[in-house]
Amino acid sequence: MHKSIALSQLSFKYKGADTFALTDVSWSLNPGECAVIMGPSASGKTTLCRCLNGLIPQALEGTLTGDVIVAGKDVSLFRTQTLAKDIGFVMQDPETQIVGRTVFEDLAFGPRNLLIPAREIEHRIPEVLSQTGLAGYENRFTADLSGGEKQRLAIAGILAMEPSILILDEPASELDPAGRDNLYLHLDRLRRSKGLTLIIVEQQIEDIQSMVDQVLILNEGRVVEQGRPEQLKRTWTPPHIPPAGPTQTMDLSPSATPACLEIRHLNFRYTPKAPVLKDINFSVYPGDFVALMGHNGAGKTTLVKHLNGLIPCHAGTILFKGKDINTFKSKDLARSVGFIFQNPDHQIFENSVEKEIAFGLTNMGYSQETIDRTVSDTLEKTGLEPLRHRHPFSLGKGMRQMIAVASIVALNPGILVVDEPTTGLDAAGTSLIMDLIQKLHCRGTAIVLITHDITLAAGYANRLVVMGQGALLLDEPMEKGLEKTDVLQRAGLIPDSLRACFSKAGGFNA
Amino acid sequence: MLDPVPSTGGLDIRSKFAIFIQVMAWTILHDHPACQGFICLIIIGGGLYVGLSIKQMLSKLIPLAPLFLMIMLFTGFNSGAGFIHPENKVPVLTLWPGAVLTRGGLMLGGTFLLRLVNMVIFTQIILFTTALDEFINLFVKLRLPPALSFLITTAIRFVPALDKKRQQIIMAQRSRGVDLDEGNVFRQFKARVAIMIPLMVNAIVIADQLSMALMNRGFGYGKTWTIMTRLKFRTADYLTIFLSLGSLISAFVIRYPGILENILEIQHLSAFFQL
Repeated sequence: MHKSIALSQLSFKYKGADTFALTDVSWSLNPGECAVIMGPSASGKTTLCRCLNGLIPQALEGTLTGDVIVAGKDVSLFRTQTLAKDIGFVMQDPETQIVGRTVFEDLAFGPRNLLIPAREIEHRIPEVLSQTGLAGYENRFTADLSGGEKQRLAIAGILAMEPSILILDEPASELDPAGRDNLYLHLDRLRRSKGLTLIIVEQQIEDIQSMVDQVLILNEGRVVEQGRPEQLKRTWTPPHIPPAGPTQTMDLSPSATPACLEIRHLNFRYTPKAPVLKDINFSVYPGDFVALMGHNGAGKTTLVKHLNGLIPCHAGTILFKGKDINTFKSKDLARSVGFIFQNPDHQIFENSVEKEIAFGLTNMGYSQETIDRTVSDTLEKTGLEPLRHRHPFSLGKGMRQMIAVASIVALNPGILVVDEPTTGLDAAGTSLIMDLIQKLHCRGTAIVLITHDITLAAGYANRLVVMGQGALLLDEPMEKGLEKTDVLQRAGLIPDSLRACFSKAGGFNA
Repeated sequence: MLDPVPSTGGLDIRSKFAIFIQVMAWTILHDHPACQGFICLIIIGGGLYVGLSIKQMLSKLIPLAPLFLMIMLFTGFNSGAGFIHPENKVPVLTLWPGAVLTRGGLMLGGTFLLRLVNMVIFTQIILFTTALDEFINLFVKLRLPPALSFLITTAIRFVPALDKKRQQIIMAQRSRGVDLDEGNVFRQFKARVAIMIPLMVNAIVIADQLSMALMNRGFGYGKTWTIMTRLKFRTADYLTIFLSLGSLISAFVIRYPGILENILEIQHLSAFFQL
């Protein structure tokens, strides 16, 4: 029997790079098996995936040595398009993989390229939609899908080509826990029913361990460990372990202090038929570390965009320190309510770290002396001082996210809104960001953290706010909130597979 | 399940292009702003009929507002061409000698502006009502190479993706206090640089990712690809082509009545169509 994958002494260096992205990787996988590739950021996981389907060296130039045999084919002898018949590769960002205007158009794209007859394509599409939990979505516009739906569509687009090997690069990074659980359930079913070989890049395998046959751990481009999950003797840096409990450094009881931000009867809709926020009443107090959670599309990001005027408040009232935020200039609001987005590359544009941090301060009209002092202070506090003169784009994603955080921290906002800041970061990157946010909280900044990671939330936040279908489902101190397992489950925060464990333990903390 | 792709009563893409050509002929051949305004109303009505909202139409026009303003100013103060009838040379506003806003200038500006509005909204209607597949089928019918066809259709997909990125970048920079409309020219320019640089970086990343995604999905596997639906003419299409042809001829006859006078050997037709 051929191996599905057989790598022998594979090494690769990107054109212009100083170091090898992969060094001497030898590994094999049998048909129908599921392997998980793990490792810290820049350890070579994505590079390895690109080698497996021929994107390296065909689309990305560099020096490749060693043998890569996938589905019985030497990938260096076949075009990626030809290999696509056997090897499906779902990349990290679903947005750039969707080419159709409607779901049907998009799903038909791959099979049409492979010259599959039209009737066969029409037959395959409902099947893959059902396999990925998108049954009935044929005529939906791809632009209207939520992040989680787009991620599933990207997978369905590859499945429609019926490959025998499916490679997925962090396929669940933007899904809520229930969505993640659901996705892996479907993938496991496919593997069992169709004998699909799965290679998944993931940061954590605890919840999917039962479906995994092999784990390959990479570090700095080298294999540091491989074998069955239960046989692994040592692991790479474990997933980020948050502190044992929320920070209690602020001695401010919410009931005793006036709210710094109050939302009253906030309603919002992008289109007349689909309300996104329904009568939201919610306050942020000094000393709060709020974890704002909910399923994909629950309205979390839309809600927080109202907090600093990114979406104007029309139906309802938002008061900042007792004053209607509609009366604030955007500049003044930015100084009071900081906002850190998921993708740092949306804001970085200066050619050095110090200039990037100084940019917001210059916008606020501070004197040069104040700017210099604040930049130095922020660089020191965030540990970015050694990188002061480096170009931000020459640094890894973790560091770029750190720069984005630092540039907001420099403005010293009273409230900091953080939208899934650790997506796509490894344990080290997550620690770096969360420790900085925690320090800020200790200094008196109220934090509103959007996350899907309930462990992270429980480790840092002192208050849990849960949203579902645009409404607030829960607003409780963290410990009490975690006991409401029925609400958490309804909001997609506890996957079905873990529900029993939660119930038996009487909540998350037990 | 949501409503399927909006339609124009199931018209074939060739019929839509026939309508497009005759509307463009009317808008290009006739200079009077009243005529342009009339065409504009018909196009907006068409947009509403196919399901576009006024807000959606405005969303495409608002970014062009600076261009519209420049057109009005440039033509308004420069009435050397276009409406040169003496009564149109009457000054409406004199800023200083030589900088005179005239009625004819404003009329010409209005014509140019409405022409642009007509083209933008009509293009929006076609994109809104036509599936990517129909474009590709048309290109196949025109015997364009599949790679070229896909290049064009991917551009149609790439632009909204980039526009979404632009909105995300503007939000990220606004949260750092960037205000695109505040301060002097230098500050406004600096604020735009803060949008442009991340946008360019992201555009390169998107293009790179898109090309890899296309290869992953077998684009370029063969010289052709599976045709899912054949273009098919129905009664409504024949009727549309017939009416569009009639309208196209009328547009030319009204604009150049001399042609018909010569063919039919009749006189004074020009006076009949004089605006």
